Amino acid sequence: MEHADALLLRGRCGACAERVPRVVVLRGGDCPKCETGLEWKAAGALSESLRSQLGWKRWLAYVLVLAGSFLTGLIPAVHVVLHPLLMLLALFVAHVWVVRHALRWLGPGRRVTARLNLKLLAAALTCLNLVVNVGVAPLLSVASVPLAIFSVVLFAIYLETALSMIGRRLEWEASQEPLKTMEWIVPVGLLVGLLVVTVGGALGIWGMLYALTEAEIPAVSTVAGWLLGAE
Amino acid sequence: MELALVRFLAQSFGVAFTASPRPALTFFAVQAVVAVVARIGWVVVSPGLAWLISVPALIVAFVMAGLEIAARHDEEIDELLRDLKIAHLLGVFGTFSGCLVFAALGLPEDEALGLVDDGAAQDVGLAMSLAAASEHPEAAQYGVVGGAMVVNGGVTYARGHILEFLATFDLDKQWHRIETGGAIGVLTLIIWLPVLALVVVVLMGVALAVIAVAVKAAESWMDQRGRRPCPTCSTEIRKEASLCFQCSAVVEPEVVLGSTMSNRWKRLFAALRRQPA
Repeated sequence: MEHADALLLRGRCGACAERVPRVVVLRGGDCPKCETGLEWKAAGALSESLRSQLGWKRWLAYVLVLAGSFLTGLIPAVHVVLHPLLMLLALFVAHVWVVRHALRWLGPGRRVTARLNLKLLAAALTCLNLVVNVGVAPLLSVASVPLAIFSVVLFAIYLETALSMIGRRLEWEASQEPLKTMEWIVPVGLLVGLLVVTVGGALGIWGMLYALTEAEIPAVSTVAGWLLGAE
Repeated sequence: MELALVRFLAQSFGVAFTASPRPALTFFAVQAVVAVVARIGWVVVSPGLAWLISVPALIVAFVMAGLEIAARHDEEIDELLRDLKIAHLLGVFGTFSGCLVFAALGLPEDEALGLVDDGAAQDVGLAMSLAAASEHPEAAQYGVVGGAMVVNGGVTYARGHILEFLATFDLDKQWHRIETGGAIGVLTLIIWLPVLALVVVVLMGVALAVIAVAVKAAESWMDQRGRRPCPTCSTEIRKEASLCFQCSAVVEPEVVLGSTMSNRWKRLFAALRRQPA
């Protein structure tokens, strides 16, 4: 790879090597410092190079998650807590190590919405993993091998969805397409829904407890006595 | 007030009891507690359900719970119970546990009145159905009880077969010990999943923001270290730069990217090659 292209991949101008907004590099604009054209010279699009750059990191992450899940699955009883924690950690590390670098190439609006989408996906997968590990796996006496495979599948869903989502957005960014309605309406809708359900649930429980404190509930003995008397 | 809270908890956990993977043991535990508190006089169980805490019922439940535990720890007893087709039927005990909990602690007033109005207090299963749907027709109430028993029996039956299949892989028995906690845990956890999801989103956001700030600071520090003065105008430029952004002078990059070695290492190797052996 050419020196200038390697600099562009690092988010720097190919000539003066100063840091430039990555989205400007992606769109092939001029360097704000030295006004040199930020032209990608190698074969294939810059977005393709970015995606291929993430390839080895992805496979290494899969192997690490598989090994980690298998090893934590070997610890009896505690694995129901360890597995979801490991998964959360894996998602977090994958986000920082793999996804975050790709996200930096997007414009501010697209980056914020994509980031929110991914956080919601990570939260949903964490919840699913918790339910499976705490409830379903002990119920079926599932051993560490299928649990490890399950963790990798969940992890792969996150990583592949993230990379595919970012890959598509990189192409839109390169072709200077404006932010689509679907890009922001989905995460905002989901977040609002989540907030409504959470607040609703909290209010419901508070209301239930309040009603219990206010209600004049007869003792069970009274009810039973009344029942026996009525009979 | 304590009773109201106990009732609230009993209703919250009632569903979990019916889905317990150790139904006989769960039933015996519930039965024993209710029998003790009824004997002390804290609660009075209606005659329709009182037989569930009678001495014969306690003995039967104790034996069944013992068999259930024995089956989990002794393969021969497990096989015997399976041959007698008893192992897969233990699930219906979960229904009775729910009935007893609802009847002794969690039976709401309206449903208690429904018991009398319908004159069906003698039926054990109806306590469950009335607690769930007293305003519905009698047929629907019987349907609820029947459904609860079928679901409990079906779940236990299916689970028994899955465990049989998994047993062929020689799984460790230790998984059984956390079954009950897991089942109850997940059923109560499901209600809180949206909150958990929101907490994950917020925590991830905060943690990533902290990391972003730290990375930015580190990059800024690294950026200062990777600079050199421009030979023409002495402006601090990057070592990788081939052009000064200040005076536009063309310069030789000190560090070349895209190759395996920096210029510094190349010069070092070149110098080593030139040295006489």
